Amino acid sequence: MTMFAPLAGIWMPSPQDLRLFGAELSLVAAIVALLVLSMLFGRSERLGAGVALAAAVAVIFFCRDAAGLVDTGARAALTPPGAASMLVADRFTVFFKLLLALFLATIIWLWMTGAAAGRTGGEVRPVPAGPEFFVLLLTSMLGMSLMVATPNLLVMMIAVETASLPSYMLAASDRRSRAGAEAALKYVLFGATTAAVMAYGLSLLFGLFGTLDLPAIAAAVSVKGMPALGWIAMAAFLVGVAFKISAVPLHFWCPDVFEGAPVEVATWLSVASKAAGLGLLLRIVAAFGGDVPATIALPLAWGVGLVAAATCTLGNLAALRQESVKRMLAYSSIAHAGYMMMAAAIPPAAAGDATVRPAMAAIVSYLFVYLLMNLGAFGVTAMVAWSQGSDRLAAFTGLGRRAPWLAVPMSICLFSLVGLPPLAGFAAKWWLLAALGQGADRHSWLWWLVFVAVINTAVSLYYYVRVIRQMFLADDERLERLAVPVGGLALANGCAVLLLLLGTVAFGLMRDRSLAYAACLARAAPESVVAAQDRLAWNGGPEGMVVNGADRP
Amino acid sequence: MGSITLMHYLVLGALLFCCGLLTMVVKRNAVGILIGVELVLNAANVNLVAFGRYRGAGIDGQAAALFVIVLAAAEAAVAIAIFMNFYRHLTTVDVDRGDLLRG
Amino acid sequence: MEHGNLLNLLIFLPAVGAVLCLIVPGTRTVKVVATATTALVMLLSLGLFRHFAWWGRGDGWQEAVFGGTYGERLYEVTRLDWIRLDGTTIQYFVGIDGLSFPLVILTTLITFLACLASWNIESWKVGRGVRGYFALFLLLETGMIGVFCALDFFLFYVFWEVMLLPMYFLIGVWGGPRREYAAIKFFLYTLAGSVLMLVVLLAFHFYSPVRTFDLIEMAVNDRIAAVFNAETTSFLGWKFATAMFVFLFIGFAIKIPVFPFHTWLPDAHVEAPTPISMILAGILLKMGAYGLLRISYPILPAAAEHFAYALAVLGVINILYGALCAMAQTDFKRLVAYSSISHMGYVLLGIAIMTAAGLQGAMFQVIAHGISSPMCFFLVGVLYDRAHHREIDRFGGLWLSMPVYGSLATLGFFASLGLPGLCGFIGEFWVLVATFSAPFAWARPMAVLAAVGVVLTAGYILWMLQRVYLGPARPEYESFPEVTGREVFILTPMAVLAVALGILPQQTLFNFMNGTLEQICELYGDGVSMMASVAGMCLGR
Repeated sequence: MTMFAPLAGIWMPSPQDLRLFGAELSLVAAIVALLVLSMLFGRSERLGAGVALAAAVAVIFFCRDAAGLVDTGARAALTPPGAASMLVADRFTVFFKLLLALFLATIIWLWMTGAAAGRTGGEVRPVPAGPEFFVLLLTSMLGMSLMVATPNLLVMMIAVETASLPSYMLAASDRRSRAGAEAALKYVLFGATTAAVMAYGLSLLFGLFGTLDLPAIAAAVSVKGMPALGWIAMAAFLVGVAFKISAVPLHFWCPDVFEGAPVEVATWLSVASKAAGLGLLLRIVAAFGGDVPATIALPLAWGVGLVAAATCTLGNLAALRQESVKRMLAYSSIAHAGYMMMAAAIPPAAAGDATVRPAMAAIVSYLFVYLLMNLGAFGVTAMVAWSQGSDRLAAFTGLGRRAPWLAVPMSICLFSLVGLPPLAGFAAKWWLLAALGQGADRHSWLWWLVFVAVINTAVSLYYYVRVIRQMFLADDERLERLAVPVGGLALANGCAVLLLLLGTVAFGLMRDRSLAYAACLARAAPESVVAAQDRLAWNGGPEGMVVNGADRP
Repeated sequence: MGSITLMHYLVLGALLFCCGLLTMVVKRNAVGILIGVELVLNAANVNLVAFGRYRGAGIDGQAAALFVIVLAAAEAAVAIAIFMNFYRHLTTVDVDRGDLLRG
Repeated sequence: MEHGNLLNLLIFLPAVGAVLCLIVPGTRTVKVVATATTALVMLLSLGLFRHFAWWGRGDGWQEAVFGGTYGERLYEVTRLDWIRLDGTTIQYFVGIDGLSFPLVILTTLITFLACLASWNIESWKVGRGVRGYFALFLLLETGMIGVFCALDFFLFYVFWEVMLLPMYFLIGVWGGPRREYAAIKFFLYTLAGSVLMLVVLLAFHFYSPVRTFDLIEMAVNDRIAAVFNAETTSFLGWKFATAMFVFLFIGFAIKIPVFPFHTWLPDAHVEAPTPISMILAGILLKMGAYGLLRISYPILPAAAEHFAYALAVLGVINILYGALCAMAQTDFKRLVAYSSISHMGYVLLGIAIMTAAGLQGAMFQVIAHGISSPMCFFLVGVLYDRAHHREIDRFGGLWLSMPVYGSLATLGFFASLGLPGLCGFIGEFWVLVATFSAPFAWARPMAVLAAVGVVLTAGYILWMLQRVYLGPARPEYESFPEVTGREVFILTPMAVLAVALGILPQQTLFNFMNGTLEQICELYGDGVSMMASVAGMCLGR
């Protein structure tokens, strides 16, 4: 026992607390296991896939467990006594982890389909081989899980990097591909630059407020106001978040990476990276609700709204003239990130206000639908690219005849991406617009965002339909039928069926579920602000700190 | 007069930040850009440590700086690996040569 | 409000048929299934007549059939909660009244006839599957009937959009040489209009003091009307009612189509296969007018009055512009397409003047055009099947080689022209008279201008008849086979209706819808409806 004596004064999390973070712990365990196992049994891809799949299942299991635990309380936090929490577990984070885990499983499914299809070695057919592919995949997921689960700026930054670093390498996971090398280069340079700016913003925020705890900063701001430098620091910090979401003007990496990276990786990044970035943005925006005066909350909302509008407009316009379907889907994912950011632009009102919940719920349901749509569209693109050796529009010629069971689900996914009823994409868009409309009761400028969203919907039709036109309206009799792996068919058609169901009979169900998941973030934010005010003792507040910097410890 | 105040560190940090930003914008060599990134990260570190020392009651700032240092190291490792991969394909690390993907 | 399931059957039976089309074996079976489905739907829809039977009910029949106020009497209502939204529910709410009843009947009939007209799909030389065509065709019918039956704004919007996809494919896959261009143009135009409708859908919900999507409730609830039509209610700086009316109008105007939103129509018509042209002209165009009467006018009467002049001007422009364009066409089908634009101008004019007589004329014109224009398109299609071109100047003397066809064609085009005794006449005449007596200072000059359209219409149709059907027989067309039994079978119902509506307008149409139209007019306010009754007396009602 004496051996542990020095540890006596150190805080240890309770088993109860750890259980809440079983998802993250199981990811870490899987990563370690993969590294060790590949040393013991050689570099087996099957093994990698198996362990990663097991990790996804474990995450789902622990998330369901955690959902039950946080259901009763507002949220549970991994908090040493007398300190700010570094990680939180609420239903909002549970949702994101579940989403990521489900998505991870489907990505592995997609990978296995590709592996089983025999990889004919066409120019686009990459082989993200070896267990390290899965190590990287799991590590990026770990980072993404942490991104949505922390109120601490430093942990946010670490989580963003934990998610980004493996993603850079994933983009280059096909080492034979020049496009992959170029994509990774652009990705890492963009990411490193934004991360550095983010770190600088973080350091300034730390200096101004004396803490890296976001609720404490929000509390300080609501008492003392936001200094001009604070806005700059905040903006610099948000640069890192905007990079993850691929918000304009930090979106340039996105199309290059999606086009250059293997399809599995592009699919993974298109949903997971953006989802985590949005979760992070939501947490920041939600923290500035509650008691934070409108003079601070509103400019923040306007900024987010402006960026959102620019993001979805530019994304859609750039998508109009793409010939590579992967690249087109990349721009479409930028546009969809813009739609989702719009909900984050709804200014959170006073504590207990009902408006913020629909906004959160809208993003939650949108993300889920977006996952299905993108998975289906990217999945079909992958099948076509694998068998045709190209993801150009021309490769889709006559797909309606050559592979109807790919063309029909592809059309459903694309029409759903447009947001046409009776598909789930419309349901998602509807809840988003309804949230905006509800917020517009108090902030009528949100109607402008509604306008931007609906006009973009009409614009986006054009480029999605280009693919559909190529599949059904254009044909070349000389082209032969496509041999498609069964796993790919199952994936694409499964997505399509779910989209149909969610757009019709389960239209409302989705909202009920997502409201439940959004509940805790909305409730937790104001509470933690109040709690954080107690901890705001260490210095007088934000103002004047840099200006009269003569004081010494 | 003569004593080093918080302000001095902050100015140093700001200078580093500007130098780094300038490097990132001007350099076309990937390694050059990475050096700019490191400069900016170190600007953040100077700020963090200075704030921690002059304003803080605890070691939060210093601890944060340690994390940033680790991040910078990891990032450099990954970035260099990717640069080498790029170099294998094009025998250069000039970012302007990466013109396969565009539009 | 009388509950019933007939409408659900009408809406979803075609969808079931569409699924069947995808799974049954053999192309001929597919055709049989599709035709049987549309026939069944048509026969079932006849069951709706029992609610609107005006005969044998004695003097108070109008009150008994239509009830006292708008929305009081709805038939075959189904109301189910579909989606919960804070404070209210989005409902699956379908029902039928005098406004939608004739349109539903028209839809089922024209769809059935168009389905028959699709039987020669193999000869279209597009080399595409029959299965997909009929499945999409039936899906389209679901959307169309749904639009006319939906009484919940959200549901209306969903059905409105559901129509788009089948239409896109039907034009784009089975259409003419420039089908891709025409299809995407149709799609983009309509979607651009409908996203504005989506904004209205949201704004109605969040501005309304009573959270509802119920179109009837929005029209009759005084609290909602007070907020919507108040001068002080503003939407992003515009007056709420004005902004909403404009958004809705753009959406509907694209469908009608109103100048300058009409450019998709000639392209779509020319490229679409014949049956799809029939549906497009016969039913889809009517949805714009229906939307104005179901949503814009009852809910936003103040804005409607504000824009009455602008709408009437647009209506007259449509009439004259469409007619002049039709006159300049050398492509037979394009001519009929432009004549549609011209004819729909009367509908807009009739609606714009906001009197009961105007509404009656407009709705009559809607139905009359819904009968005559599919007939014209089919007549053109018959010719195209034989000649494989549509150049008016290359035809001539067809009456000699095809006497039966020539006679039916003359009947159809005369109906479109507005010859007294045929359906087109009543609608146009009614609108013109109503406009002349409308309570607006600008109404009389407008009526005079619109009357010029009648002359122009006569001009281009008679000129066309002369060039195509009359004159000396041309050798290359002498061997043309006479219309087949199938073609006569398709033309006959439309011909019979064109005559019946022209001779007995009261019994065949007005009695089925006037009650509801008057109720809609009452929603506008007393002043306007009083003038309307005067106009009604002038017309000898």
